[in-house]
Amino acid sequence: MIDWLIEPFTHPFMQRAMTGAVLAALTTSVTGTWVILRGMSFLGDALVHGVIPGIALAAVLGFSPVLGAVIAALVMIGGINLIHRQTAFSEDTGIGLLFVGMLALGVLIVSAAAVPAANLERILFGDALGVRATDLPWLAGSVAAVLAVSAVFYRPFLALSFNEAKAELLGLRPRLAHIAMLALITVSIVASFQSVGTLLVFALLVAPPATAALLVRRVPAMMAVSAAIGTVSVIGGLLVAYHAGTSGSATMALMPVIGFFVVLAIRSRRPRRTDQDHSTASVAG
Amino acid sequence: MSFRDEIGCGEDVADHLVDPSLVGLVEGEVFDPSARRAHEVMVMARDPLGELVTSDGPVVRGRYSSRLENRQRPVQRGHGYGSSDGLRQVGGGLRTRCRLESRYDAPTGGRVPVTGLCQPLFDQSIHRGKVHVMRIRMVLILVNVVLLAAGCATSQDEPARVLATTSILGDVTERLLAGSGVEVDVLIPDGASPHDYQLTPQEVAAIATAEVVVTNGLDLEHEIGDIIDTQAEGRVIVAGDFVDTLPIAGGTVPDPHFWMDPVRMQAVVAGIAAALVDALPDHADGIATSERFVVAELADLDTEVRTTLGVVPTDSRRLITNHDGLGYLADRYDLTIVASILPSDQSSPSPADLAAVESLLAELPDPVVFVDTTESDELARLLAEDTGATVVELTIAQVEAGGYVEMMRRTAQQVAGALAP
Repeated sequence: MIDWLIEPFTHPFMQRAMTGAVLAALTTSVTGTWVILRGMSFLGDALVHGVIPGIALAAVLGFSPVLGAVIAALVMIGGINLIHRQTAFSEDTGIGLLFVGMLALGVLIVSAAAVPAANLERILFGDALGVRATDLPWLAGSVAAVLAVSAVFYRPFLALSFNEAKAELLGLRPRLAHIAMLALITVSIVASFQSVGTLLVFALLVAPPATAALLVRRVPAMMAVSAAIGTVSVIGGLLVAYHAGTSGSATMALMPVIGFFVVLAIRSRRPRRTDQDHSTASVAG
Repeated sequence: MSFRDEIGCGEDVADHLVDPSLVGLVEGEVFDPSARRAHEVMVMARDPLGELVTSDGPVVRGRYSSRLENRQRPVQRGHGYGSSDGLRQVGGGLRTRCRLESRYDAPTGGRVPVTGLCQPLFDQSIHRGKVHVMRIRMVLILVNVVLLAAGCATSQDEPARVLATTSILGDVTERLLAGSGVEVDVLIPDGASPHDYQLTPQEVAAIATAEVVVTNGLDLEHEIGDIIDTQAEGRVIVAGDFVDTLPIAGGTVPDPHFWMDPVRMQAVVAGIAAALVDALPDHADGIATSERFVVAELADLDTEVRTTLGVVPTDSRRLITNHDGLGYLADRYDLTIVASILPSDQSSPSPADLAAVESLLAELPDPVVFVDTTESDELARLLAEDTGATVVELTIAQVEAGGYVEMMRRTAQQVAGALAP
C-alpha cells in the first residue's frame, strides 16, 4: 500500500506534476472561493479560454506568453465591463460575447500564422505531466500574490461578494474591489494554466471551492478546506492515473468534481432541510 | 524517348525560372548577350537525381549516370570563332550549346536513357579565365550571365489542376507530372500538423475545383479528409489505398505514415501514376516514363537507406519515439520501436506510460529519443532531460529542399548516426 502511494513519485516528472498541481490548487482555492461566492465561474471559464489569442500572438511575434495572456485578459475584462456599463444586458451576455470573440480570434491567429503546430499545442493545452522545474517558482509566487491580495482586500471582497450596494454604503469601494478581484482571477489563471493545462486550472478554480462551500461557512475556512480538497484531488488523481493508465490531466480534473458530488450526496442524506433533500436526490442517484 | 527543347527564349535567368523540369535528354543553349570579351562559359545542370553536373566529367552514382556536354560559339561571325573547348573572341554575345544526358542502367540489363526530370541550373554558369585557379573566384562574382533556359515550351498560365494534401505526396505527384506543365499545389503547409490545420475558404475552393486531389486518406488529414470527401468535384486519389498498411502500435487502426518505407512508396507511386493517367490522359506518356524513373529511384533509395542503417548493431536497433511516425521505417529495416511517448489517438498520455518510457531510457546505455516537428515534443524533452537521453529531431513530414528522397536519406542518416556507436 505504501509502495502504491510512494513508488509513482520516485519519477521526477511525477514530482514536478504533483508540486505544480498542488501549487495551482492552492492559488485557485484562494481565487476560486471568491469566484464561487460572487458567482463568477462563467467568467473564470471564459478567461481561461479568452487568453488564447494573446498567447497565440505572443508565439507568433515572439514575446512572453505570460505578457500575451495578461494583455488578452485585460482586453477581455475591459470589453465585458464596457458591455455591462453601456447596456442593460446581464453580465453573462458580455462574457459570452467576449468569450467566443476571443476564442475565434485565437483560432484565426493560430491558423493564419505559420507557427509550428507543436509549439502552440503545448501553450494552449499544456499538460500537468509536462510541468517544468522552472515553472514552479512562478506558481509559488502566484500563491503568495493571491494570498497577499486576498488579505489586503479581505473586507472589500467580502462585502462585494454578499451585497454590492451595502459595500458602497460601507465605503468599501466595490468598483475598485471588483477590479482587484478580476486581477486576482487573471493572475491565478495565467500563472497556472500554462504549466498544468487549461482543463485542470478550471476544474481547480471551481470544484474544490464549491465543495468547501458545502461544508463550511467562513471564507478563510472555505479557502483552507478548498486547498485541502484540491491537494488531495490532484495527488489522488495522479495516483489513479498512474496505476490505471489514464490521462494525467483529465483524471486530476475529474477528481474534485467527483468529490463535489460525493460530498453533496452525503450531505443530502442528513435530514437538514427538506427542499435540499428533494433537489439533490436525483443528482445523487 | 528523349525530349528535346531548344533553349533560346532570350530572357534573363531571373525571369525564367518557369518550370525547371524536363523529361528526358535536355538540349539547349545558353546565351550571354553582355559578353564582350573572350571567355569561356561553363554550364552546370542538375540531373534527375538532383546532382550538379558540369561538363568536366560524368556523374556516376550506382546504376545511374549523367553527362553534360557543352560547345560554345560567338553569336556574330567575323569577330572570332568558337571551338568545342573554348572561345577566342566574342562580338555580340556568347552562345553555348549544351546537352544533358542521363542514363539509368536498367536492372533487366542493357542501358536505357533515363527519362526523368532534368533541371538545368539556370543561374550558374561560369566565366573561366585562362588560369585555372581563377575559376573558383569567378563562380562567386558572376551573376549577370543570361541563360536561355529550357522549359519555354511549358505554359505559365495553366491553372493549378492537381492538389496534394501533404508536401510528401505533393513532391511525388509533382515528379510524376514533371514536364507536363500541370501545376501541383500542396494544401497543408510544410511543418503544419495535418491533424489540426484549418482550411481557408480559398483552400476549400481549390479542393472543389481541382481536377485531381491526392490525399493520404488513412485519417492523417482528419477534418480536411471529410472536406475533400464532400467538396472535391474532381478525381480523388487516395494514396493509402495502394499501401499494405500496418496497424498503429497496439491497435487495429492503420498507421498513415507509410511514406517512411520507400518500398511501400513504390506501390504508392505506381498507384498514383495509374490514377493520374486515368484522370489526365493527355499526359499519359510523360507520367508513364516519369513513373519508371521514380520507382527505380525509390528502389535505389531503399538500398541506400538499408546500407545507411546497416551500420547500426543488432542490439542497438531500438527506437524510442515521441509519436508513432516511424512504424514503417522500423518494419522495413529491422528496427524495433520499443516505446512511443504520445498516444496515437491524440489524447494526453498517462503517467504510467511516461514512467515506463522513463525507466526504459534510464536502463539504456546511450538513450536516444526521436522527436519530430508535427507533434508537441515537450514531454519527450523533459523525460530526456531527466534521464540524460539525447533528443534527435527528425523532419519526417517536411520535404524542404531536395524533396521526399532527400528527406528519407537525411532521416536514415540521423537515425543511424544516433544509434550507431
